[in-house]
Amino acid sequence: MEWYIAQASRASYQLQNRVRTRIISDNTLNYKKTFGDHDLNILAGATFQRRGSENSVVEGTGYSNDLLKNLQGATTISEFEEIAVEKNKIGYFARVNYAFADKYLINASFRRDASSVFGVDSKWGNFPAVSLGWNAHNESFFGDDGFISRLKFRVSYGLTGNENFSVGDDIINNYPYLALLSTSNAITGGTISPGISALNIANTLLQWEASEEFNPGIDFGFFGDKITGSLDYYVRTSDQLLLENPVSYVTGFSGGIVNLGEVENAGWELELRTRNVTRSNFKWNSTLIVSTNKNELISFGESNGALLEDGFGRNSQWINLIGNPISSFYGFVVDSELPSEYWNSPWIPINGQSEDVIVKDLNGDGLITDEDKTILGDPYPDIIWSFTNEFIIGNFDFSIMIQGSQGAEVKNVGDQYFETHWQGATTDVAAVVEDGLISHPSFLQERVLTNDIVQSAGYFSLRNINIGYTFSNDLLARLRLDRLRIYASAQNLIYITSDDYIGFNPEYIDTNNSPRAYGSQRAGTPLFRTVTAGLNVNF
Amino acid sequence: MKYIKYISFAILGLTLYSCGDDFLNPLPESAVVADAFFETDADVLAGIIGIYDAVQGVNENTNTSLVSSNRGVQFEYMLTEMRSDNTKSATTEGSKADFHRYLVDANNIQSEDYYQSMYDIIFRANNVMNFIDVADEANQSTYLAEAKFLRAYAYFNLVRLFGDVPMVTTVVGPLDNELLFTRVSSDEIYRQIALDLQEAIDNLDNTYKSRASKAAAQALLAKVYLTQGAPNYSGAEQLCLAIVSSGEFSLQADFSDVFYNELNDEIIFAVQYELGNTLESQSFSSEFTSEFRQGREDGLNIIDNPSLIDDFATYGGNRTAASYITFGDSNEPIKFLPEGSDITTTPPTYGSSPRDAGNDWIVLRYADVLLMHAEAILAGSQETTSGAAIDSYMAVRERAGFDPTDDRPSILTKDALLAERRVELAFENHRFFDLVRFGVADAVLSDHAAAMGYTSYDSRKLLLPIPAREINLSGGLLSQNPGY
Repeated sequence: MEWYIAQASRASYQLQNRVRTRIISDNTLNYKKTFGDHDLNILAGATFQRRGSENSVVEGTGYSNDLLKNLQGATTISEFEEIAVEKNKIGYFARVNYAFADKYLINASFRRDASSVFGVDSKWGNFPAVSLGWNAHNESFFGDDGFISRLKFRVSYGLTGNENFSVGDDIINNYPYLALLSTSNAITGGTISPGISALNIANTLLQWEASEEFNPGIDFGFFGDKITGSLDYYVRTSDQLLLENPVSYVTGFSGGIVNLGEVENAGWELELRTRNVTRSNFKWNSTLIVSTNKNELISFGESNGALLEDGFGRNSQWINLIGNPISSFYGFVVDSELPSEYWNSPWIPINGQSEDVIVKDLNGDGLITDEDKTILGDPYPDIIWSFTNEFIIGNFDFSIMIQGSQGAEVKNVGDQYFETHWQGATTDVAAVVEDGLISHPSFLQERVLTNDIVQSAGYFSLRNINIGYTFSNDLLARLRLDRLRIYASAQNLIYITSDDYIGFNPEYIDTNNSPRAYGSQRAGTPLFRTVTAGLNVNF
Repeated sequence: MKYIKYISFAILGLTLYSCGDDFLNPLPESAVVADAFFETDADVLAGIIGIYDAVQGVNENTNTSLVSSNRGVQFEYMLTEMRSDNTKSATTEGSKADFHRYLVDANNIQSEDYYQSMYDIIFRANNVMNFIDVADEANQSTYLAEAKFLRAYAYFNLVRLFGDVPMVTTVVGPLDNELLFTRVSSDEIYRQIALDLQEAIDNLDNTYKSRASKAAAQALLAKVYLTQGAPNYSGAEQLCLAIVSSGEFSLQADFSDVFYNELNDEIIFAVQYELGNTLESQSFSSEFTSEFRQGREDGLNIIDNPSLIDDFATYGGNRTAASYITFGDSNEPIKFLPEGSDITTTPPTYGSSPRDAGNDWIVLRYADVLLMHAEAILAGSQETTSGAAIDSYMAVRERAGFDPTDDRPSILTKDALLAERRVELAFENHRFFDLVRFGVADAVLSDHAAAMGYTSYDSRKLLLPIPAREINLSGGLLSQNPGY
């Protein structure tokens, strides 16, 4: 079978112009004063930003000659588009820092921001924040025994605003509060007639998404700062999320941008740095960073329980359900594999899998329905960590970083390709029922709708390794160089994925994923293993 | 000098603050704000053309996302022809391959897209109706009639494919759950369709073939009368006669000219496309190739069933060679070959941009009307001896090369008429609806499914599922069709 037939000329010429304009005016007034033990720092300011973007694309096809690089050589202008948008922002802010004897710290700030993307009467948002700190190590009751060299307690609370979202259309992204009409031409009588149609459902009330964060923490240092680090707990609650909400097609639209729901992210962050050896010809430092996170949907209005589907036409689902991570994978649970004698393919590839599997009847009613779907996982890691060691031995330097992530799942739609599911489609469901493998045809469901493709995205990696040699000053002087270093580095020399993950890269997430249906990959970019060698020369 | 920075700062702040209103409410340059738009006759006409744009559908080979993209009529062959006993997908990969095996479920992307596309047509029609009074007085009734014709066209497709569906005849907001999610009975939808089409008949003439016309409304209403729960055979017969006696339409002498001579005398209503123009072209022409594939898939809407080839051999006449071609094991439609195709060479060529094809999609043509005329006279019975019915039937047959006297039957049977429609209108998305309308869909398709090994077929599959997305959004208001 011929898959591809060469045409007379497939040449096409695309002319693309992108002009981005940023006009930013940041204005600040700063007042600093120290009197006695009192340190005062006051900042006030205003910012004005105009962000314009103009994109145009023209594509010509039907060239007589591949060497022509102009539009007039095209017989057809096959693509033409021009979009100009503008997004403006005004912000006023003030901040007061006060410290007493470098022991007691207070920081209070206030921002008032407006963004052009929001409704006429809801453009402005107020974002206050306050933090308190106590440098306990500066207190006199801490002796100079050197055991504790640094101890700071701090707590902060504040609001931040977000104005960024994407519904996939640049015009709607910038003017979501206006009811817009766009070009909608049609061919009548053999020629193009100008037409127009509604582009969006305007949301005149659209407002800032606000995140409230509470963050207590400790900074510490022991043994003259040989061991330093910090421990933080954070709870970040994002409210009035800017999300695209699906609406019934009967309205003539598929969705609209709304402020909807509340999501909480909470967890711990630990950073630990140690200077293990500090001799002049041998230094060894270590850094451990660990963070945990838990994502939970707190409220979601009438959209609680909403089901969303992937964009690939594979029908796999997500659920946005209160009490669970916002973007939770949803589907059937595999009970058993379908024996290969029921597959329709006369040739089954090595490692090939059946398109259909037998799924579990979770509610036990003897039928497989939507009621038998359950949450199968989520794309958010429970824990991310890295451990770095750096050595300097004489003229050699060496560093190694291992890194990992555990607890996240990825919806691996690429599995359908890797394991050629459709080669193993079932044609005779009735035979599977007759032979007693299942009690009802509904027990056979496509593998892509089950937990089989929800795979662990956890990994362990030797993320980075560097080795270098810096030449001594004697040599440099003779060569009239300031510095000469020869080095080699490598990324991902070791990369271990979970046993149940089948794919190129558990970290890859398809770029078109929305925040409500996040965490799928259809194959995707493989992970790179890079090895670099080089020479640094400074004259 | 010391204070100059404070002063300049204050001036800058005040300047920018005072112009803040425009600064924070910039007007788009690449779209029009709706409030300011509909003011002249030309604006209303642009709104009407916008409805045709929805009918035209969006070529699949555009940069828009894979889902929810208003492919509309460009996907229709999957929902109709591939669910009949005529055609299939070359492979079993993906949701497009679920149609011919009766595996379509409530999450099927293409079925959902078509549902959405029809409501997009309906929304645009309803929306323009709000602004008709802005148009010149002389044009108001024709604009209104055009919008109603297109709305009726969309509801007719919906009601035949999905059964009872929500019906809105005004613009409805996203929170009006009662209207958005209440399934209205087919009878009531057919009543609305008939009202809209009657208004189109009363107010339109036959100026256009690529826009609504009197004849298009008559032909569509005739089909509605033949399809609705209680058929109105005499109404359908009169509408067909009115088109015949208008004298404005005739069969093309050469069958292949019907498809390759755009807006010819046989065309009553066609959706037009333009070659090479991504935004105004169609993708189905390329998808109908398989052995030397030009489309995104390995071949869609290719012949599935030896019975179609047998019917062509028996009833096709000279239409057979103009309807499909055999490459190896693959029997592919050739009514919509992309411009510049040459299938006489090996390998065949398919022109400069087959995926941006410009072939029109024919919705209604004169041969269909002639056969509907015979069908209306048959009026649901098994056979007729009516000379008028046999005349219409023979007019189509004679063009296909059959002899006016030797091949003329004295009795026209329902089976012969159905077979004639199958070969005359193959790949034009009529077969599935014909089987349903003739009352034989379950009998024919259950035999077909058994012969082809499509074990998922049962009579409930004659209706497509309401998209699961809509049911999920309805909070329990919207019910699913049985069997899904």
